[in-house]
Amino acid sequence: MMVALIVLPVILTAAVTIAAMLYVASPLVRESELPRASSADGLARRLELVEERDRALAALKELEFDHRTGKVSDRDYREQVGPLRRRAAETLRALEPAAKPDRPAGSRRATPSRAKVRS
Amino acid sequence: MAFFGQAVLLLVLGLLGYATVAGSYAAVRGRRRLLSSAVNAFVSAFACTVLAAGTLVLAFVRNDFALSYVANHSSRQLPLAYTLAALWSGQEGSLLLWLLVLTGVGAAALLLNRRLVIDVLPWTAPILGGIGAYFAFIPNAVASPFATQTAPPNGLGMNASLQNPYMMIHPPLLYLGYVGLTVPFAFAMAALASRRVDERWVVASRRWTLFSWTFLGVAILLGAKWAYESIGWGGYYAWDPVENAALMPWLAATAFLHSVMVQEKKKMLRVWNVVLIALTFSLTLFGTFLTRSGVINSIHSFSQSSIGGWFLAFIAVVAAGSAFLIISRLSILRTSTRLESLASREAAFLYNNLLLVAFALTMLWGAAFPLLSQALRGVSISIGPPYYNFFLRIFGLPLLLLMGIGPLLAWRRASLRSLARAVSWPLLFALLVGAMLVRAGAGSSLPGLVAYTFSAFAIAAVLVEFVRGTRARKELGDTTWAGAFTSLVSRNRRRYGGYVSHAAVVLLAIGVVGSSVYNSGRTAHLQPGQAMSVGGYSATYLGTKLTRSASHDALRGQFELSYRGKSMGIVEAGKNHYKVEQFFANAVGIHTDWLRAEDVMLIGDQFDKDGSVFLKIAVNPLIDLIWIAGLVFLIGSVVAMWPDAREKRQLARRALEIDGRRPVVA
Amino acid sequence: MSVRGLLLAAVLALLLAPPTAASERHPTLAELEHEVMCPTCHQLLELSDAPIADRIRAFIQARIEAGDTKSEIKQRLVSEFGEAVLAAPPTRGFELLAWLLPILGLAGSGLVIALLAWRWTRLKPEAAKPHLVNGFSELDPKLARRLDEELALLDR
Repeated sequence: MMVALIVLPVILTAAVTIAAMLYVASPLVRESELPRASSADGLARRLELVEERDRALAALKELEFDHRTGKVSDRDYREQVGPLRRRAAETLRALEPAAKPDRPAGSRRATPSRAKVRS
Repeated sequence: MAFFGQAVLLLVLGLLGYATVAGSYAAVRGRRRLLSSAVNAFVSAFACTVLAAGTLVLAFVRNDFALSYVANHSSRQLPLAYTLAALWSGQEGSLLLWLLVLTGVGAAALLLNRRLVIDVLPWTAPILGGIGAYFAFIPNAVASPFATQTAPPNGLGMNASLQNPYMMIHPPLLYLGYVGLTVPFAFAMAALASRRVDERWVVASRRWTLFSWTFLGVAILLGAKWAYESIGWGGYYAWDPVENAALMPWLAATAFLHSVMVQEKKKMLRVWNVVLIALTFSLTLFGTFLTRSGVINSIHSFSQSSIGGWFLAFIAVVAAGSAFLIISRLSILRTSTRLESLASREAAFLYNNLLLVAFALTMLWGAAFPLLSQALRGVSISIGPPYYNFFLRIFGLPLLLLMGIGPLLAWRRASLRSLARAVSWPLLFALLVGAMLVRAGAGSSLPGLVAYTFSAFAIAAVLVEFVRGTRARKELGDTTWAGAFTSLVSRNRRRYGGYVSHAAVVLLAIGVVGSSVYNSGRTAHLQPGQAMSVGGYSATYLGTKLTRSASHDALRGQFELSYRGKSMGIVEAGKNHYKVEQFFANAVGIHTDWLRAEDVMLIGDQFDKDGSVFLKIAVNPLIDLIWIAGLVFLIGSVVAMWPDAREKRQLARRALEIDGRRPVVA
Repeated sequence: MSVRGLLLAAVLALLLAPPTAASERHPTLAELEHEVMCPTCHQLLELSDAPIADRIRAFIQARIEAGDTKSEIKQRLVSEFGEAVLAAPPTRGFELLAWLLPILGLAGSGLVIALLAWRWTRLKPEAAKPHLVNGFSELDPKLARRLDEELALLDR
């Protein structure tokens, strides 16, 4: 009984330690070392452009909605929509094939050409 | 048992040390497998901390007084529910809880964001590992919860003021929020260290900040309710250094949640945002240092201990490390900032950040100033509630006003005309409310009147936003109003969840002002049969009764309460005598009128041998709005946190576009 | 507009500091309990039931009955129990720093932010745009169509 009281914690500790070590070591054996493309720094510029495009699109979307709710007056809307559209278009152009020669421009996404949102 | 606990705790330290060292090496050399292994080490450190904490809880349940910590914080008489929570009733145990929460939240962050952590921000794992290693080092080397002694026949018992149901829920939630703020800090610093300052870290940091901020906010309110119900002075927040220690990082995190939107929408304030995250995390550490080290005395602080020096050293390392990282990455962080107008949403966020951070830093200054005075002049002084209440007015009232103006401003630019149009309804409503309040006699307190007028303005602004938005969505094609409303909210959860949180803050402000400015109360000496009245309420003292249980004797005075002659039933107020702990605690009686959100609180200050009682009655108008505010706050946060399919799709598309593979953040 | 509102509110708040004049001559114990601390337990007197807190209360009660004004009572409390008995530091001497620093800090950083913000509004965006009342005409029609497609995509 006394022996069990001393030995049991030791066994338990050893078991936990071994289990933890196996878990920690497992990626070293099982996973591949291949770095993913996104970690390459050359893509940083492209990511920046993509983010810029999404920001510009979101800003346009928001401006339209704010205009519709009345938060942005007609005049403010007319003043702002032009530059915002131009900025968004610039990012779209910057992201076109030249920046990405390995894939044809159209195949990136199937863009359903639906209702225009020019309100 | 102590051996197993101690050994597992040592293993945790080893695992976190490995996560730090191996993770750093992997981050420098770009070794994915090694990094993955470091992440696994962090996750297994969490599993082992669970085992260590479980061991301690088991020791409490089995009354294993050979462990000093168990003997010092429990007894055979302690009810089982409290023995389960006894883990965090003292210094060593709460440091273990800290470690548990840190490894738990950290492991969750690493696993949920695994791709991001492995491929984009490799420094996340070693940074979390390093912070974890520090918090594993303390219970291993400085304040061990597993120290043993010759078992005494009975323990010393638990601090009687902790023997309260809130004790089961408040500390874990508080730690979840407080310690959770480590994760956004780790992402931010990892982004700097890994030189990846694009939006990916921002998304991860913002989500984890929202998570921690929610729990911290709810926990602060639960703590206030605990103080209100159990300490029995009629208040709920005493500007105690420990309470402030939780409020400071909450305010800083609030500032971040606002300013991060400016970064996401306009790529501005990138330097400021990492500074703000580092400040938030440092404030959690500094608040803990102030209250845990015995430097500042407060009703919450644990007894004097030796961890102060260790904490100070760690704070210095964190502050220096983050300052170095931020400064060395200034060149890649800086962007050309352009502000279209001073009357715009983003400009409002600038002012809001200024006020929130100034308030947080003022609280820090208030905590530090007595130390300064002591050190420089040898004069000990106090900085207490009157000081903070003054600054609450200075910073809080403009914030309240800003909370009304901000939502009405458009991004980029609001011309005076559209601003005037947007503001007109809320302004009209606020002026109307103000005039009505003056007529009702609320002018007795000018700050109160101003606060209520601003509150009315802010709540009207939120309502206007919801109404206009829903109307616009209906015009855009939703057939029903309910459909338009859900579509409005689901299209921009963060915005409309945020507005709900604004409503919660307004409720909070109304409750705080009402209960602190328009409250009334008095004390009287009553013989059985006698009555006293305060503000329309009257309490008749009926007599006392005594109930005995294993842990304590409960003495209760019974009072028949009536409001304007109408009986509201019997309210009991008295004292508990905890036998093992040799401690008397107040047991206050609270009658809540939910319709008017008003409480009557009965406090039996002193029961005399002849059967008479010194009874204190406090009437706290509108105080229940504070608790309702907590609920509304939670709803708003859940709305804002709810997984956003649109955002997920957008992030997935971005990831696809840059490397043609599966998303890294999702 | 909102800057002015902000300033106005701050000034207003400053002016609305606790009304002291009325209670100066006839203070009550309850009132002083909010402004006096128990120096050993670091709690407001109102919250404390330590022996020293009871002594302070008795002291205040006696002074009130003797007809002292509020500031006289506070002065006597300080000389009897030390400066830590006041819940907020006095607004003079070294302690003034406790009050001044946050206010100066706010004013200073407010000024810095105002200056920065003003400078940021001066920065002109990419080239002036002479005839941009309606921006559509400037865009290449193909690009404009792509833009609208992208926007429609966001709406899903």
